[in-house]
Amino acid sequence: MGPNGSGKSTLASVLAGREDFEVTQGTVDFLGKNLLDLSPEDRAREGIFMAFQYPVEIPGVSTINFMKSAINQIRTYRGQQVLDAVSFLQLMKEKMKLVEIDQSLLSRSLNEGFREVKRNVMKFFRWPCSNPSSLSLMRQTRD
Amino acid sequence: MSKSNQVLEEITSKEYEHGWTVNLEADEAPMGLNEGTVRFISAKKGEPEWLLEWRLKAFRLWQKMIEPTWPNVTYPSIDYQNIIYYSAPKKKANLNSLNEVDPELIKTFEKLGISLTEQKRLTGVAVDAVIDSVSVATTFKEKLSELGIIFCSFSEAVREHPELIKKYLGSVVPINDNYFAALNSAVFSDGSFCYIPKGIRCPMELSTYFRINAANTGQFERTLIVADEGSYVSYLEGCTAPMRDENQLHAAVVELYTMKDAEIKYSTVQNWYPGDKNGKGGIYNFVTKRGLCFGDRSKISWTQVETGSAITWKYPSCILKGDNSVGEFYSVAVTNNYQQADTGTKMIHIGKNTRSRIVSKGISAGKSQNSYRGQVHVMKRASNARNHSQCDSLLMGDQCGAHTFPYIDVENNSARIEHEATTSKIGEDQIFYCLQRGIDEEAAVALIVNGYAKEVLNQLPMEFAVEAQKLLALTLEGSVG
Ligand SMILES: Nc1ncnc2c1ncn2[C@@H]1O[C@H](COP(=O)(O)OP(=O)(O)OP(=O)(O)O)[C@@H](O)[C@H]1O
Ligand SMILES: [Mg+2]
Repeated sequence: MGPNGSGKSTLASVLAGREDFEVTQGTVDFLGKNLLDLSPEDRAREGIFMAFQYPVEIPGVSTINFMKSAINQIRTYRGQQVLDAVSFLQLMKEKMKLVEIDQSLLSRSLNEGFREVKRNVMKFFRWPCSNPSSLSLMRQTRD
Repeated sequence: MSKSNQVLEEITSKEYEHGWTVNLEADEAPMGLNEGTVRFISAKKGEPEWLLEWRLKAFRLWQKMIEPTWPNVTYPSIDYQNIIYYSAPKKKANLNSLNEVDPELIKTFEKLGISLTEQKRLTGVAVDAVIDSVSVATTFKEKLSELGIIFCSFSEAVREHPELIKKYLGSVVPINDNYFAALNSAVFSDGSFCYIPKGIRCPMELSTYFRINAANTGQFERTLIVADEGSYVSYLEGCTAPMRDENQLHAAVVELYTMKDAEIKYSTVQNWYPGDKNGKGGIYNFVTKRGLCFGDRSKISWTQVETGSAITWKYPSCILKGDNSVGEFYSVAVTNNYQQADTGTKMIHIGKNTRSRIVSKGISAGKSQNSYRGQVHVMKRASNARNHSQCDSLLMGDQCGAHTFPYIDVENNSARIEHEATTSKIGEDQIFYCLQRGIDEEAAVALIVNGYAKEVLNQLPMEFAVEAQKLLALTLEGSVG
């Protein structure tokens, strides 16, 4: 959506709320709210989803545990009921069919040692689950 | 001289000899430490002569020893004459409901997920008859004694099982082992004793019992666990709830003794008051913990989660004497604010084919200092000894310190020793990744830290693992950003 160096990664980071950037002017209107007024986690809960090209590794944290935390915090924010272990697993199974992912990946540590292909699968997998209202997909390169 | 006069004379001259009058009516020993203090404690507990002599020997040795200065901790020097070494156990204030308890404390309990009954027990609120803790404890005790398991206070053991105490007390940690062990040997007030007979597998976590039977942790606690041939026991000390104590100095001794094919699993959750945000106050915790794998194929496994105390000085160790014996040490030590911890283990390989495993996870935050100090010693006779050590440090912020002091002495060529060490920081990337998935910072830190410490937490008994996870998160609350 723009030539090299035109500011795609920067814009994505600003929208997601990375602290390294200072917005000197303007507002970002998102579904009636000014994104710039929200914390990064609230932006995520409102539906801003950023696909990281190189997902961060968190050793010892299983994908399933991570997703449960994320989904339940998002649900709480949206005034929905928190999912218990059983209904959470059920949701997982449905979504996994959707993207054809092997179950064994869920108990693995978050993104740890994933090869690029698998990482990509996992990152898209996380998307339908967290039900974002918008998706900003960009090939983010590590600068 | 009349008979009564003679007796009087004898008594008074005896008192003169020791320069001390034992006032057994007093609830407290007078301040300070001398032979009289030791005699007072022993008399107060109605101990046999041999134990008094044992204490006195320890005291005399202690007088000639000097406080160690090698640990990587600093604290104002301790005035040992400005301490009261014995006071009768005080009953906790009897409150009528949790409403009378400090709301801050209740908040902490809730965050840790500690049940209402337990909250009441910990704060001294009267518990309703249905879940009367005393009767539950009695049931446990009956069940244990049916199997021949002895589990009682140290004083009771001295009275009821003197032959066992005489045989094993000081057999793993000799009275002159170190400064604090000698001090403890002279003045220990009480503690626990546990004996598992031949071939018996203790059917319950001894923690379960503990949690019901309020552990009255003293300043100088003494624990002795003996596992006879082929037996097994899992023992848990401490609890996740914050522990306050007016005594600043704590010097406990724990001795574990395993015979042929026996196993002891000893887990600790230590959450003593660490002092305030500015480093004022807090407990000094100088503990000697050691296990002796005496018999062939015996095993001792230490697991510790250390989050409290202003100063922690502690090296749960294993002496692997029996052939094919196994020693393990799993540790998470968290320091925040101005806390200082110097902790680790010693694995002494004496027997053939002995194996040891060390997993140490340090977490430093605030302005704290966290040191791992570990020794692996393979003696001449210990052919085919194996050790694997993994020492990881996690730093939060840039004002704390993490240090690793591994000592490796190998006297046998067939040994195989592996040591891995890593230091990492909680990355902004990791936190941001969590935030971007809708997880707030507090939960993010909890996830990351618990992931990091998982290998150790997995070793804890189930119900404690969950509490310990919450405890880690709580200890580190607000230390990022
Ligand atoms: N609004 C802006 N104001 C000032 N500097 C900007 C702005 N947006 C981007 N930049 C700067 O321009 C450079 C390129 O930006 P960025 O890396 O976001 O581009 P990109 O479109 O992602 O490039 P690529 O296609 O190579 O990935 C960076 O140095 C960035 O700091
Ligand atoms: Mg880019």
